Amino acid sequence: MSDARRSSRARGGPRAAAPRRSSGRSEASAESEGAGEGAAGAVFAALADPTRRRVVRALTQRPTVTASALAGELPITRQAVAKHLSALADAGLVSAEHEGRETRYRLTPDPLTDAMRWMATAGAQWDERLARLERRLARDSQR
Amino acid sequence: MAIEDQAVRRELMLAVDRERAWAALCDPHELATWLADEVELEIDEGAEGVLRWDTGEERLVTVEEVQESRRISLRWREPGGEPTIVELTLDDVPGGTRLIVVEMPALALDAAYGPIELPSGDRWGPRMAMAAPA
Repeated sequence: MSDARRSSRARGGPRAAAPRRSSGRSEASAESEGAGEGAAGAVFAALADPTRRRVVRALTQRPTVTASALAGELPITRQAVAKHLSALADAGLVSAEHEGRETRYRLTPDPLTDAMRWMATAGAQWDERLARLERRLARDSQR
Repeated sequence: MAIEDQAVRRELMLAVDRERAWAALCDPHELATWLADEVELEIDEGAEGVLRWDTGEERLVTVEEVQESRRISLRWREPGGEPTIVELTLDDVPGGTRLIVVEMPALALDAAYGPIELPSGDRWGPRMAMAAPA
């Protein structure tokens, strides 16, 4: 699969769907923390739906898949599958590749990494804040 | 990935009673000793303000909900960033008070539960700490 493939990932997507390719570059280099947080929000929103999480799980099991094949595996119609794939594409989690009359979908997990990074950063910040709170209240109770 | 997996969630046992713990959450001077380095915010529903850290970081804050001695919900964001919802909840437990902190992107919360329109025109989601496992 060459990099010249057409991708619909950036089509009409929100800020999370910056036209960043999943292949070739592992670092999300010039992105600010703020942009990363925005992407995390879109990713979490996309994955809030249980059916979409099943679609993502199905996509992790093979390089590419068609909407029809997915509809055969999941208890939903092909149209519903297409809708979920489009929502995932808007969050930058899925890219569409057109081969002749067929559209094949591929998981592009970079935004997931961004979301995980947001969780790690926000979690570490709370750990620091809560340690300060604990120390403060401990001082109080010793008085 | 359930909703609670998409949130940062922390639990802390505080060796003080709930009244003392509440003071640490709702008094700006107290907040400036642990939450941020500089607190320009009153903990009143609808209040807006700014938190600053010595690192140069800054968050613009809206107080979404205040339940006296029980819960504070904030919506905050870095300038130009996406908002997240922060919920601080206190519970009585033997020997002290339990503080539960939940933070998650506002977008994810709205998607999971759908926003609620408040009479003020603001939108608000669910009780996150309630949704998370005890």
